[in-house]
Parts: sequence; C-alpha cells; structure tokens
Amino acid sequence: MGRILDLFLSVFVIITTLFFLLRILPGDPSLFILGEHADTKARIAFLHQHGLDAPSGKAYLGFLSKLAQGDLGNSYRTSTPVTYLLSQHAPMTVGLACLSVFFSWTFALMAMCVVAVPWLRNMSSIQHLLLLFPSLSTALPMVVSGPLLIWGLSYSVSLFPLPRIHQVHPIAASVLPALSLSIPLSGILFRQAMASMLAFEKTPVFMQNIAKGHSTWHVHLTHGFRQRVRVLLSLSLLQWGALLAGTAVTERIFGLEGMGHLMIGAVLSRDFPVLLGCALWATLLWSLVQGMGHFFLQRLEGQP
Amino acid sequence: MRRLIAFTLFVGFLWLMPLNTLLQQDLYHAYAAPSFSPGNFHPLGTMENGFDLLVLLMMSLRYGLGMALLASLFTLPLSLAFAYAMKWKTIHIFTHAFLALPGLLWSACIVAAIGQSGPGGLMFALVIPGSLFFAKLLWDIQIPLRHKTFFYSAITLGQTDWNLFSKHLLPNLKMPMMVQGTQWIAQALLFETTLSYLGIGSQMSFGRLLKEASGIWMIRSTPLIFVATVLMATTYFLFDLANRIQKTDIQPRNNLT
Repeated sequence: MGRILDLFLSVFVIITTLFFLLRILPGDPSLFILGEHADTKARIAFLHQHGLDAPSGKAYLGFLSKLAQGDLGNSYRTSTPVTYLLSQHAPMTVGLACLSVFFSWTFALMAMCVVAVPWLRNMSSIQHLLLLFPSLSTALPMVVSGPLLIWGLSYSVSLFPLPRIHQVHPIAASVLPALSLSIPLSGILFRQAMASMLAFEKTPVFMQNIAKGHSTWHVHLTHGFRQRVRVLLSLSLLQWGALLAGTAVTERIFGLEGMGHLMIGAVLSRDFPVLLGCALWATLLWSLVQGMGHFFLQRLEGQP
Repeated sequence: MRRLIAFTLFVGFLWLMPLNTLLQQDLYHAYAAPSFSPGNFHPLGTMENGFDLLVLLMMSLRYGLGMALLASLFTLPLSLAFAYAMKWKTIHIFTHAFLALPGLLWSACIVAAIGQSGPGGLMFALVIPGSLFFAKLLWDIQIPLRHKTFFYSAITLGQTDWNLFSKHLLPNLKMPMMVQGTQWIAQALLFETTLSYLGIGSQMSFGRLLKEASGIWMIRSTPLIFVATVLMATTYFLFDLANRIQKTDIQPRNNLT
C-alpha cells in the first residue's frame, strides 16, 4: 500500500513540476512548431488552440481532469493523441531495456563462472581482462561505445544488421543497440558479482564445505548462488533509471523508433504534451520495476 | 608515489591548453591545402570545412571538461542548500519523488522548458538533477552523524538548527563531498557529452562533434573512433584516479593497489 502511495506521489510531483516548468519558463512552443518567422495571428491561434493562453491554474486543472480519464492530449506537431504515440513507441524501449538487462546478467554470470573455476581464474590474461572491463565500461559513454560497436560489429565485420540501413526484424535490429546499452550495467554487475564471489570464499560456510571435500564450483552453486542473485537484482534495480535514460541515447544512435527517440524529438520541438506523456510513462515504469524488484528481493530473502 | 603519478597526469592534461594557437595555425594550413583524408599534417584528416579533426576533438573535450568543472562548482553549494532544506518533510518527500525520473530525462525536460539549448541551458540541465542527487546522498551520509554523542551534546546545549548544521554536520560532510565532487566532474563530462550528442547541448561539445563525425567514421573507418575513445577514457580515468586517492586518504584501510 505504501509503495502504491509512493508511486502516486512521485507521478503527481513530477507531472505538476514539469507542467508548471514548461508553462512558466520562456520556451515558447509556437516558435518551434510554426517557425520564428510565423505570422503573429497564426501564433496566437496556435496558442489558443492548445490552451497555452489560458491561466496556468485553470490549464493545470483541465490537464488533471483529462489525465484522470486517461487522455494526455494531442501532439502539437502531428495532432496525434499522445496515448497512441506512447503505445506505438513503448514496446521497442521496453524490449530494448529487457534485452540489455539479459545481456548484462549473462556477462555477470560469465564472470561468476570464471571466478568459480580455479584454473580459469588463475590465468593472468583472464584476470587482466576481468579487471579492465568494468573500468572501461564506466569510463565510456554510450555516445562513444555505440558508434564503436557499429563500426566494429556492423560496418567492419557485418555481424549485426543496422536498423537504419537493413530491413530486418525488430528483434534482430535491437540486438546491437541492446548490447551497447548493456555495457555500463554489465560493468557494474560484473565487478559486484566478482567481488561478492571472492568475499564469499572467505566465509566459514565456504571453508567448511571445501574442507568436506566439495569442489569450489559445487560450493558456489549450492551455497552462494542465492546471495549473488540478490546482489545482482539489487544493483539492476538501482541502475534501472540509468538504463531507462540510456535507451534514449541508444535509440538516437541506432535510429530506433522508441520512447527515448520520441522524448528527445519532443524536447527539440517543444512538444509539451508528448514530453509530459513520456515523463509520466518513464516514472510509472521506474516505479513499477522498483516495486516488482522489491517483491522478488523479499521472496529471495524469505520474507512474507 | 600515487600522488606523484596523479599530479603528473594532471599536469600532462595541460596539453589541452595551447590549442587555440594550434587551431589558428591549422586553419591557415587547412585552408591553404584543404584535404579530407588523413595525412602527415592531419593525423585524423579534416572536416569538410577544413578543420583538423584531432584538434577539434581535443578542443571540444576541453570545452566539455570546462563545463563539467563549472557545473560541479554550482552543484556542490546548491546540493548543500537542498540537503539542509530536506529537514522539512515536504521538501524531503519532493526530493525523493524527483529522483523517480532519471537525471538525463530531467535534463532534457529542463532544456525544453528553458527554450534554449546553448551553454546556459546545458548548465541548468547539469546542475539541477546533479544537485538533487547530491542532496539525497548528503542527507543519507549525515543521518548516522545525527546519532553521535557530539550531536546529542550540541542539541542539549541548545544550539540552533543552523549551528548544528554548519558547525557539526558540515565539517564531517566536507570530505565525502570532495570525494563525490571529484567523481561528479567525470560524470558531468559524460553527461554533457551525451546531452550534446542528443542535440540538447552546445555546438562546441565533444558529443556534437561525435554526432557530426559519426557519418564520416562509417565511410573512412579512420582511427578517429579509437582516438575519441582513448581521449574520453583518459579524461575519465584521471578523475577516477583522483577520486580513489581521496578515498584512500579518508580510509587508509581501503587502500587500492
């Protein structure tokens, strides 16, 4: 119940703040939609048509009453209902984020496997690689790593198709973007998974089981796995916001028609209803994922 | 030894400084003999308008770094003010609620509201989400301090809220703030690059250059990608190193080898 209240509060605060910010601050959408040289009459008509000339309080109440009915208004640019635009663009972003979480978890599990197998862990080249990857992944923003991946895996080797150039299935087209999006999260999960595994090896539980004659791999799998999953899940939850923001960048780099692309387009053209809709969607998704994650964490910890 | 290395790296970073004169000389040569492909004089080649790509990359990185430093200077005092204001329940709840929207999306919304995407808008976009995040961080750090004996003693002596904050909490928050501030400079640089790439930032930024150059990369496959990667990673690692040194100074037991 508390979480649902938190969700409503977050949505209310963000929507209210954004609504008044967009109305009070001097960014005039008519200048961007109609152009700087537009006729004054046309601009006045535009402002009147979209209710931008109404007092802020009245407009806010109108917006809230429409929102309660599930109506987010129409786009200034295309006059398309915002809810329709969201329904068209959201699946791509959600799919991209889920695929990148999948890749990140795969990388983290690979790191855990390397740590659990002694002969693999003792190879110095593997050690250096393992230490370098997390640092490099946090040091490179997606605007650098994205084009680097395009150049390396798509342009030079032709391993992955590019959505802008090749006509491919959306899932196939989103593999490389998801890989690019997963790099920062992978680095964090990778580092934590390794650190957590190594810390587990110093615990009495681990030592007792090794003394009983069990293999390192077996002890990690039977006694340490649940704790590792909990750590990875907590970190994935903490990074969900960054992942969501990262989709905006990735979609822009790879030319995917997702929520991030829609939102940045709305920012550049001052399409306020679309911008508010995207912010509302992002907040709802963030809160939903946090709620689901906490539920699973409680289940993992054995709490009711 | 580690300090010496860090200092050398920081001094080495000054190679970015005399670029204005380099750019002028380069422009002269570039317009005298414009070339699009890499050569002896232009290791990465030139843009279509004759600008040397390597010099442009370095210039734009320096610009981004300047913006990040300036943003950090504004962010720290503002976050302190937010952290102090978080003692009021409403502001506390509001700050938590704000964090439900990712920082990058907040920045995008702020730029849209301001109506300009130049350096001024970019500064707002960096400072406001950063301050909110820092305020939350500072608030979390100061909670255990409020349960220490010295704090209870100060309350018993009847000190005002402001005195408690400025004389007892602030000195203890100084070092964590410095550590996080150093980290924030590196983060702000990445943030600024990303915003500029999306078209929200300044024309001179590293991100905008990457955006413009990305088409050229695909055609020429020059070492430009690798140079950009190395430049960005080096800059980040410099601040990361400074951050680690500060952490070691605070907690010598966390000495990182």
